[in-house]
Order: sequence, then C-alpha cells, then structure tokens
Amino acid sequence: MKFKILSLLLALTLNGCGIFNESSESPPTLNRTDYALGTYITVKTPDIPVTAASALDKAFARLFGIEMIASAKNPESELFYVNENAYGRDIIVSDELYSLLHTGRFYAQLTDGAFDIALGSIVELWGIGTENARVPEAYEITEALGNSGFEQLVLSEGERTVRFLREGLRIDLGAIAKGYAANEMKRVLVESGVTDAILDLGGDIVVIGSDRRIGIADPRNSAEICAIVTISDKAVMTSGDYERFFDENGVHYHHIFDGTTGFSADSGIISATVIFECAMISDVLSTAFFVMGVERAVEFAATMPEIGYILIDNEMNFYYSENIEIEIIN
Amino acid sequence: MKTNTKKLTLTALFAVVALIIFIVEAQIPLPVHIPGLKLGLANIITLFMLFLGGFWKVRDVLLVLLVRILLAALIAGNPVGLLYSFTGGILSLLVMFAMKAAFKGAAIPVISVAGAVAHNIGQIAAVMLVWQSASVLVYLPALIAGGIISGLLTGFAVYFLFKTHPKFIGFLGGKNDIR
Amino acid sequence: MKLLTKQNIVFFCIIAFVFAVSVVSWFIIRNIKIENPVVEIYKNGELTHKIELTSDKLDFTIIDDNSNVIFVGHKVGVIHADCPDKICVNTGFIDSGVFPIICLPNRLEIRITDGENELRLDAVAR
Repeated sequence: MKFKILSLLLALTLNGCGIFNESSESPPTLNRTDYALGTYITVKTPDIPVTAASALDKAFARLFGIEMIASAKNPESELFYVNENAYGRDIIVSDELYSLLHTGRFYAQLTDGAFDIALGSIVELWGIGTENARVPEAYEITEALGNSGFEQLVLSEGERTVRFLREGLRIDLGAIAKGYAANEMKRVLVESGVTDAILDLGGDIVVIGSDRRIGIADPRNSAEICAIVTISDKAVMTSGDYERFFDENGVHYHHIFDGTTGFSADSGIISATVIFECAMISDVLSTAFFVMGVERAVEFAATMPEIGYILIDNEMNFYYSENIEIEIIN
Repeated sequence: MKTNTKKLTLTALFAVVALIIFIVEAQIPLPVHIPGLKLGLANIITLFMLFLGGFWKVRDVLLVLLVRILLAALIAGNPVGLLYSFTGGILSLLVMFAMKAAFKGAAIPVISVAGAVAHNIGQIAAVMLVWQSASVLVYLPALIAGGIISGLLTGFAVYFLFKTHPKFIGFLGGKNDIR
Repeated sequence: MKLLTKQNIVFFCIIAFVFAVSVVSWFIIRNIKIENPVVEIYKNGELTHKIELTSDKLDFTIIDDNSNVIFVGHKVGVIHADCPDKICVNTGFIDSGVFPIICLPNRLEIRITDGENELRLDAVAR
C-alpha cells in the first residue's frame, strides 16, 4: 500500500519528469514514474545524476516503443492492428512483435498452454479490471474458448507474417510484454552505465545491483509482505489472484485465466513468484506456474534448475526452490 | 400510594436522574483524553439502587441501567458505542452484585471501585473483540487507574447519601442496612 | 455502618496497590519508543494506509467520511472528526509511542508499528 501511495504520488506530481529527492539519511536518488502497459512503472537509481537522467530518458523511450508494439489495449499499437486484421490473411509484422509472438508461442507449447498468449478473447469477455467485468454466460465462454489457443496462430519465419485461423482469436501479450519491456529497459540502463537501480513495473521488480531486499506481497493482505528475498541482478516477477479481480456470490474471479476452462485459474496457487536473470522468462513462468498448480509447477521447474520460485497455495503453504535466499515472515 | 405504582414511578425517576447525571458529566472536561475513560458518575444511581434493599431487586437496577445506556447513546448520537457501554455496564453490575453477596462487610466505596474497574475492563474487552485488535490494551493501566478514582468518587457519594439521609432511604422503600 | 473495618482496610490497601501499579505501568508504557515508526491507519478494522514516518516529506491530509487525518513533519494526528467525544482529536499528534489514536464511534485506529522489515526493503513484488 505504502508503495502504491508513493508511486501514485510520484505519478501525480512528477509524471514524465525526473527529480532528485534529497534526504539527510539516504543518498540522493533519481526517480521516474510513468504509465505504460496498463500499470505504473517506476525506476529508482542512486547512480550519478547526469548519466542516470539521460539513461532514464532512453529507458522510458524504449518502454513507450514497446507499448506501441505490444499493447493489446492501445488502439494505435501494432498488436491491436494485428488482432483486428490477421484472420485468414498473412500480416507482415515488425521484427520485435514477431519475436515476441514467436517466443510467446514457444513458451505456450513448452508449458502445455498453462501460459498462452492467445487467450485475448477470454480476457475481453470477462473484462476483469475494467468497468465491464462480469461473469459471462456458459455459451459465451464456450465460444471464446473456441477462439482461443496458440494452435490457432500461424507464424511464418521467413516473411515474418502472422495469420489467425479463427476470426475471434485475440492475442494478449500481457503476461510477457512487461517482462520483455523490463529486459529492454534494463539493457538500456546498463548500456548507459547505470550500475544500481530498481525497476518496478507495477509490482514486477528488476534489480540492477547486488544484495537487494525485495518483499513479496502477502496474497491475502497485499498491503503487507509475507516474505523477503535477497537478490542480485535478477528479476522478481509475481502473479497473484489479488491484483485485478472481482467477487461475485462468494466466488473470486481474477485476471489470470486457464485456457482449458475459460475461467480464472483455480489451481490452488494464489501467488507465484519466479526469480531469474531474464525478466521475460520470469514473467511467463510466474503466470504458467500460477495456472499449473504446485505439483506441475515444481515438476516443470525441476527441468530448469537455474529458475528460482516461490509458490503460495490457498492455505498459505510456501513452496520454494533451494537456489534463493528467502526469509518468510509470519 | 400502592407499592407497585410507587416503585414504577421511582424506577422511571432513577433512570431520568441517571440520564441527567450522564448529560451533566459529558460537559465536564477531563484532564486526560483516553478512549473509554469517563468519570462514570451515572454509576451513582446503579450503586445507590443496589444498596437500597427493601423491595429493590437486582433486576430493577438492571432495568434502570439498560434504559439509561440506551437513552444516553441516543442523546449522544453514538449508537456504535452502545455495545461497549452495554458490555461495560453489565459486567460492572455483575461484579458489584457478586462482591456485595460474597463480602457482607465490604464497604460501598470498595464495591464501587470494583464495579468501575470492571466497567472499564468490560469496555476495552468489547473493543478488542469487535476490532480484533489488541492495540487498545496499552490503555488498560490508565483505565484501571481512572476506574479506581471514579469508583472512589461515586462510592463515597453514595456512602454519604446513605449515612446522612436515613429518612430519605426509608421513603424510597430501602431498608437502610448501610454498611 | 463502619467504614474502617479490618476487611475494608485490606480492600483499600489492595485498591491502593493496584492503583500504584497502574500508574507506574502507565508511565512505563508512555515512555516506550518504537523504532522505525510506520503509521498504520485502520478504518472499520481494515488497513487503509501504511506510511513511513521517516519519509522525507510528509505534509498531507487524508480525508474520509468521518475524519481528517493529517501528517505534519514526522507526526500524525486527527484534526477534525464528526464523532461526539472527540477523543481522537484531543489525543493530539503521535510519532513513536505505543499509544494509538482511537476513535471508538467511527472505528478509526491510527497506530505506530515498527517497520524495520519494510524499511530495509528495496521494493515489493506483487
């Protein structure tokens, strides 16, 4: 909550401009917050001001570039155009969008659809996080399920073309674009000489620097934290059922969907965090693990031993990998 | 006058006096501001009735207490506080009644102190239960000390009332077996 | 009729003792200081705000239906409330003590907690 208030205050007062926060106790830090990809994105760095200021400009320019390519909601984005026009014909897309779609489909296959970029029609149908959020009728869900799934997406490497096999298919890169943007922003910052920074993309964290303490929000009281991890130069991406949701007749409907049911994923996991160097893979896998459930996720993670994870089930049991430094708070 | 009519009239009168005391007390500023801490002067009536004896039974005291709490909450425009006042008031009456029965020789001020402290503990317990929060507990010492002071005040007031106005007690139908 | 019987003297001694203990513990509790003060504001039992008191700039007001909570410098207090007793307003400003600001009628509670864990955090993943 505190961080939400702070980032909100920052966003309101400093939208689009960097300022120096001078405080007697801590060294001056440079903060910048902006709204992109449906969330507030903040970069904090105590690095040398001049370098950092221009680095931040470049990083945010990169972010807005990605927004214009990969946002499913922005009507001016490239993805929006593809979603409207790719049924039955080949659309030539930019290298960047192609590689996002390609990577997205690769992980969809790898996770047996637990992560799926082609659930846009289900996302739109439920409208969670918008004013139009509602529980759809059964026939609507059946219809949306028919218009979902990465198998309906045809990518052609040579010409960089995209084609949909179903008219209602909609691509939603929500669970990968933020991670990709985080990677890109990090790359720009590091190339500009920044050695110490925290990127906060609406609660997805990327660390440049060592031994940073990152809290994990308590899924049952997200104003509090339930664990602290100490990480160096890694991303901490969390998927939870408490971020965007609505409750109706005692049922909790949230924004992470299961492509096999068309309903909010109900695997028993209420918070899945993945800790890894690559923010994009962390982003994808945190969503996939959330949908998979503890047993499948742990099994899957065993095939990628360098991945760190923290899974919390609906009884607040913690399952985490041994390669992370974690402190659980009661 | 028939006993029943007299008793009924006096019961109403007690309730009104208790209410007036409550209203007047609300105008007296306290030097410290502690949630739930009051002078508790309205307890004078409860204590007084409890010791009247004669045809006055505990249920009459309870009735006056409940009427006073209900009306006080309405007048103060504080219906939320009702629950806390009820818990405190009833616990206080219970403790005073039990003390009076258990220690035949216990003086009025002693029982009054026990009642006032019980009242404050009851209130804070109700708050803790409803709020599901123990943080108000830090006020407990202040509430106990405050209860002792107000208990002594009301206790001696009632004690001297009994001591100096035996005829009045007789008129009210009391037995005047003051300790 | 006798006030000063043996039994009553014992009772009065007990009362005096309890009183003394209460007053002493009152003063002890009053002097407890909370390190790394973080303000938690609860309305109707729900945590609505959580704000570090050590932050650089904290001059702002939080307004809800019943009361105005204000942060000035490194203190927090209620400056206006529609409750009948105004205990919350009269409690004044708090910064590092264990005594919360309580408004029983409006079910508002402002307490100070030790934010050590969170102050040492660089970010929160959610």
